[in-house]
Amino acid sequence: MQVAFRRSRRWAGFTAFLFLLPSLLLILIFQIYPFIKGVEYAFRDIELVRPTEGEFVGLRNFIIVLRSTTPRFWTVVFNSMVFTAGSIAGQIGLGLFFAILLHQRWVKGRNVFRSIFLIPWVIAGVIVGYTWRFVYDPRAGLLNRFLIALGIMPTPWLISPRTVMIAAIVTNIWRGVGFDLLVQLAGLQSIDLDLLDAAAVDGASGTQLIYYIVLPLLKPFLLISLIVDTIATLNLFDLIFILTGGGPMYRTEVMSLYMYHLAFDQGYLGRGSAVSVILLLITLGLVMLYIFLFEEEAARV
Amino acid sequence: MFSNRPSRTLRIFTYTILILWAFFCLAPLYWIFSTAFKPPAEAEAYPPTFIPRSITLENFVYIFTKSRNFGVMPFLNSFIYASGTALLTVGICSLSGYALSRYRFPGRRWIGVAMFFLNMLPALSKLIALYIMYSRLGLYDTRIGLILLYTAGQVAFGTWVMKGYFDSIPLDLEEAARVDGASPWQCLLYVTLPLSLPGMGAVAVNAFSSGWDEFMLALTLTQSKELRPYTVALSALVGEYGRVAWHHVSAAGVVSLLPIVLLFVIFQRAFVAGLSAGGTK
Repeated sequence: MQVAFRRSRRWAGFTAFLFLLPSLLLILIFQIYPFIKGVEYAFRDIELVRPTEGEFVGLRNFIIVLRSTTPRFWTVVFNSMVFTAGSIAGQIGLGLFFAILLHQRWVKGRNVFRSIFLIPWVIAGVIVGYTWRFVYDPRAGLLNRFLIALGIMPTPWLISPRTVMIAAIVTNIWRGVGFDLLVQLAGLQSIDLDLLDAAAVDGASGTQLIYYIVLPLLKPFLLISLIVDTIATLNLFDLIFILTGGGPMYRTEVMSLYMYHLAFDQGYLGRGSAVSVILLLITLGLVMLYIFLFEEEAARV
Repeated sequence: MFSNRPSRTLRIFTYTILILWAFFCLAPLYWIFSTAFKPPAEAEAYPPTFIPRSITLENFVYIFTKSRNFGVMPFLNSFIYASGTALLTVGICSLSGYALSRYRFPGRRWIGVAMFFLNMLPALSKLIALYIMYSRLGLYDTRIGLILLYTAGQVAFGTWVMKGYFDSIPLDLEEAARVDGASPWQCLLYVTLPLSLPGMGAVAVNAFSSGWDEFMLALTLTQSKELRPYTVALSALVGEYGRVAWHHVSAAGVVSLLPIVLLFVIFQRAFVAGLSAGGTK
């Protein structure tokens, strides 16, 4: 060790361990233990009214959840997939688009625009939820007020089953673009501009530059965006709990809300745990799929 | 393409898009800000006005003094959770960051990576087990229960940032102190920590804002009105008269944004420094 405390290796290790102890204890008690217990409870019959260690029931919780009818489990999974795919496509697409615009050296006020674009991302999910519920309010909302001013028919955005999912996705995109903008800007800053200038001198057009040089170089950063956004969106709770609460008619009942309703409204803690295990498996599966696809791509090039 | 000025039409197109998106980012916030200052009669009138005809603080007075379900407590509770989390996180992460930066021991790299990946596990998948665990340990419906949980969620990020910051401080200073007979603890406390204030600021700001904004755990793990943070208590304001009094919700929303705005204005440099040091989030 090339450090200050050279005297005794064992003593140094002990001191380091002492310094690490509070952090390790917190992680062990409040992260690792509840995580393992959460998986275990998925296989136990445990309810809110009697939160004792329930008896081991094997896969029964999973079977009950998969067979449930109001709402049907696959409807909930489908909602989660639509919400996640829509949110992520919008967030990464727009984040990348605005990152490219804000990386142009001739654009004036780039820092001001970047700060404004980051604001929605800094706001608490709960406040985003209430703010947009207000914006979508049929009577008092900004959106319908705006549509009236333009002479377009107002719509009850969050009450109509046809528009509620779109409304929720738009809200989540509004909130999340800032993060992907930051990640992609970091990616663009890592690209050598001389390389692009040289290609431009050789006659490459703007779209060619983006498609053949910028995007391939951004791949690691796109992968980061994709992974972080997938985990965050599949497990999103506060924003959509406040905005729609899963309604109307389970149209926006995503897996996180379904788990919460099952566990804490209906009191089936075991079945709720089963849902959260399934959600975790889906999340892990998607993340591994992304990594596999990106590596496959990299191997082919 | 990033260096040269493109054609006039492309420039106009770019600025138009940027201004439209800035407008889209700000419009919903303008809506709650303007409504928060509208008198109740104007706020409830149909159709709503784009620009308030008159401005009043009535809604703020209402949520703090007159409302039976809201008052000052929710914001005070949030402040306690957020500042408690910030203090505890800075203390604990200074220690662990120091250990990872200054000592070589088996598993050193492994610990940092493990912390990082454990933190990627969503809080949602621990929620039910935490509820049961808290009921049994007597941590359910307590302040310390929430603060410990929020701190645990910040440990990975905080340790990472502090380690990064300590790495940037030269060892010579500590070695000089060691020669003069200082213990490792004294080295950290009197030599290294005072030099690490920007790193600590970044960790504190991040921990504070996460505690201030948190909803799901507070909703599930607290019950009594006296302990609920504003994020949970807002629902009481919404349901007070059957239909939503948006001017009250807006006023509370505006108040909730103030500490975050203040933090970012005051600590912007520390925040950016910490982010570039930690390189995450």
